[in-house]
Amino acid sequence: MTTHDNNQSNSTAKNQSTENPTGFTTKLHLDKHISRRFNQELEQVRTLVINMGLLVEEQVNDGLSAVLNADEKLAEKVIKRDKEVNTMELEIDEYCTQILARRQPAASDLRLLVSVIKSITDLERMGDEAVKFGKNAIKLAKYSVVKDGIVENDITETEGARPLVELKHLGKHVSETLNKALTAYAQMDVEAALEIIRNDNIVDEEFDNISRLLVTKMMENPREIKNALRVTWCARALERIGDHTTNLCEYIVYLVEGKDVRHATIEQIKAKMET
Amino acid sequence: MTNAIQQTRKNAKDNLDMNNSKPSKLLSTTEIVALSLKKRHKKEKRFKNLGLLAVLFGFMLVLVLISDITIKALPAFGQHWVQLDIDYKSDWLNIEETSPETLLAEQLKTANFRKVLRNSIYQMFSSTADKKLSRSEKRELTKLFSTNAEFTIKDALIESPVLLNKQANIWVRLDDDVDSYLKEGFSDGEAGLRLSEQQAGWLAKLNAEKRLENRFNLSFFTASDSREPELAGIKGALVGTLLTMLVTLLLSFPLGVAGALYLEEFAPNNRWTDLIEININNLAAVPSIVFGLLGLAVIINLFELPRSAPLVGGIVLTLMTLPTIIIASRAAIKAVPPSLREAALGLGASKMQVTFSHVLPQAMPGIITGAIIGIAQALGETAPLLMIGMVAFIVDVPTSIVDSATVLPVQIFLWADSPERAFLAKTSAAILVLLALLLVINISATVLRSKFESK
Amino acid sequence: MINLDTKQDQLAHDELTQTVGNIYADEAKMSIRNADVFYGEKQAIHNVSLDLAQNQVTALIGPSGCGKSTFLRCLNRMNDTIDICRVTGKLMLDEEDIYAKDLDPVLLRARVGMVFQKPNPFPKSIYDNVAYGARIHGLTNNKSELDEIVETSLQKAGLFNEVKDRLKDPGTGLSGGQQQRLCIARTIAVSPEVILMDEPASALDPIATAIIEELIDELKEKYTIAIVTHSMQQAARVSQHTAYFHMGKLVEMGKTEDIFTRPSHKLTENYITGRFG
Repeated sequence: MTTHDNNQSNSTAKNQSTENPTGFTTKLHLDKHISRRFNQELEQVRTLVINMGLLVEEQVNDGLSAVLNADEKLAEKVIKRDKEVNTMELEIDEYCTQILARRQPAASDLRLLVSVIKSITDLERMGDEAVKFGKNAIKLAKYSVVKDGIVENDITETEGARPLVELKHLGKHVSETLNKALTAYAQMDVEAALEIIRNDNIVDEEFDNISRLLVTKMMENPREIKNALRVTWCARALERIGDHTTNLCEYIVYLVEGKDVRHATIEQIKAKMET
Repeated sequence: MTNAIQQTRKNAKDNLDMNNSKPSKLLSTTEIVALSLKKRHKKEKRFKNLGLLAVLFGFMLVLVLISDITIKALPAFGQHWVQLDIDYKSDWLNIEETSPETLLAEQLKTANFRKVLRNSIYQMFSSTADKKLSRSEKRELTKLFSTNAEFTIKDALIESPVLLNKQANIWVRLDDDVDSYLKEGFSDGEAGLRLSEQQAGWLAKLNAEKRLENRFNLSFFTASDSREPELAGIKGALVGTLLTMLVTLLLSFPLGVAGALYLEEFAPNNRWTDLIEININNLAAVPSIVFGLLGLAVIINLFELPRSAPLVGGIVLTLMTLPTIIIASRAAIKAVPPSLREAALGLGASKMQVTFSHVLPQAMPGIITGAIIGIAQALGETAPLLMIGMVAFIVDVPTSIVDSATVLPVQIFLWADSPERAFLAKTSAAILVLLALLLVINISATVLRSKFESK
Repeated sequence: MINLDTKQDQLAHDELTQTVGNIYADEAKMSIRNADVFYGEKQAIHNVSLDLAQNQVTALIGPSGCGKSTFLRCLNRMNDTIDICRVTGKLMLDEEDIYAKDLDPVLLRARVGMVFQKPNPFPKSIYDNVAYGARIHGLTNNKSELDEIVETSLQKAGLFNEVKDRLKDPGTGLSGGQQQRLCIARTIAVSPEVILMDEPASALDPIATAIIEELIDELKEKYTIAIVTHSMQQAARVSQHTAYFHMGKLVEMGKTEDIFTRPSHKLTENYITGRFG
């Protein structure tokens, strides 16, 4: 080893020691296995999951857009593309099983695979919810003309547009949250994940709002019930997507910190993270 | 690919080109190996044959040696006896006939059997001739028979006193010169190296009368040394050897094994131990005669133990054998795998228990081999025993380890020195006995070893 | 490779290898505090403290040459056989110092048994192998008691049914896995309190290994067990507590499930996941 190399590793050690004075695992290294193939396999899994996430995100956004604009074509596309999402789920599942069988991974590698297997389930469900958007969008398009969330030829008053506006609002929130979650996943950002978990209730509150609004509408005008119901279902789908996103973030916390924060209140989570 | 492999391929390719002048191509590893394979096999075969040759050569040498000795020794196992007509005349015996029984027995013991023998012989041979035998002729005649013939006829009479004043046919031994003459197969009447024509004639006459017989020489084994070859036996030397070996074994084996155990297991790793080790290894190379001098100076002069005793011989041989046994035992003990010791220690065995329950039994085959090598070496040692006096002419069979004795190698040495031709055969026979003894020791050691190994 | 030239680097390295996790046990059968082991000038074990929990299996893992075997052999004073080996610190069995001047190592080894990496049955019969320990410690008075001890030990080791018809056959005639089980039977025939195992299954095939691991699981009901192993999967399967050694130091210790799912120390994580060796 030349002196140059010594100095290099010297400085790396220095950096290491100031970043991690006690060497605790605050940043995961998924690479640097002695087995290069293993490194590649884990990288591959992560890439596949992120790709699936991106596809699902696109599906959700497209689905939302289809509903808000009553875009039948877009809706059909969303419904068709769900097959891709399902295929990806199967592929990733199989890949993880192979790695488990061959590598008997431990610690962070094990947590990665376990969290991946769980994540793709949630992603696939999100994909299914996006399909619901598509289906509802088609039905909505048959009976009304909607533009930018505003029902144009609604035979009732423009008040009927309000739930869709709320839906748009909620949809934007959910879509952004999903984006943030996927970014956090790619960057293994625990703080961002915890933030999303903490804000899970916002989606629930918004959903309650919309529900109340729609119930009122349904009571006021029985002819609105069909549309109102469809909007409700879309809102429910959004709420579910929000839940799945929260799940994804819980998995991120598990992956990075090794702590299982599912089904816990915010106080409990706080306590767990401090130990 | 390293440069060496590339060069080899190039060489092989060049060779192939030179021989075949084919279009050149690079040879694969298999082809190169195949080329050299023949050579390697040839080398192996050559080596194997050489080894076989060496073994056969050694075997041939041994075979030649043994056959030579056996052939030389065969005559010693037979002895010629002659049947004589003995006339137990009481006046020759110089006793009174009318004495009571007990007095008769006493008288018989001191009677003159020599006269009886001589007169009987003269009677036998003069009966055919007309003239009486001259003095020189009588002397010649007497010389035909062994000096202990008179004792043989004495024993015959004492055994059956009724023969008094009667004639009897008694078998007596012939003198060693006659014995050798007969064994060398001269034709009847031909003069031998130490036999005159007349004597040969008398012998031929005896032979014609079927009075000669070749019997198995039991006295070789039952008699001790004697000046007369026909009477000499190895019993004394054999017993002396066995006693000496016993002393050696009893002293050297425990001391050697204990010493080896101590050095291997218990001795601390310091300079004293190293010193002891060096000294033991050097002792193994000391010429054996030095031990003899030591025995003489210290054991006999200082401790005043009896000279020429198996005890002293045993002590001297012990000193000689000890280094061999210690070295072989140490090697055997060292060869015991440490996992065995650890297993025993791990169970809570003390050091002594580990040594005696496990290490020693495991090392026993090697130790026994070493002991056998040492004892076999001691068995054939002559020089140190000469120094302590075991070269004396001992006629009595030793009964204890402090009696004067001699050992087989010394006996062989003494006999080899003697001029009588009969001793030549006896020397070879004694060598055979020594070898047989060695064989017995080796076989018993092999049996012992296999018993330990099978455990 | 970290360059330890400057003091700062040394400090950083030391901090990197501070013991993490839980070294104490509620009911400790053996406790070791601040143990150092020297081979002449070279220090092999640096300031190691840990507890062996009663009736539990503690696994010692770590890369080659990290000192785990050396440490294990201190626990029954097998290192006494090596002249240049020196042990300092407090090593206690049930609150008794095992390195006390008046404590006979022979007595200690009757309470702390050991099973070695390569099966080493005595070149005696199977019966004599198992009976040896009982005999030398004078644990029985008559033959029938000895027979019983031999049978019980072989039963516990799961070997009895296979050898009950040939107890007089030499122990060395068994297969590798059977030999190792014989060695285990031999060790438990002395009724020890602690059993130390130095890579007991590393020389065996997978089936024999599985049988041994099953045996260890049963044995912990009665004995406290410490096992050194190169196989992390074995440590994960067999033990309740795991201690990770690195270059003679105890880096991390804790519950096995925690160590293998979420180790706290980076060195432990690296070793378990197969990084940097």
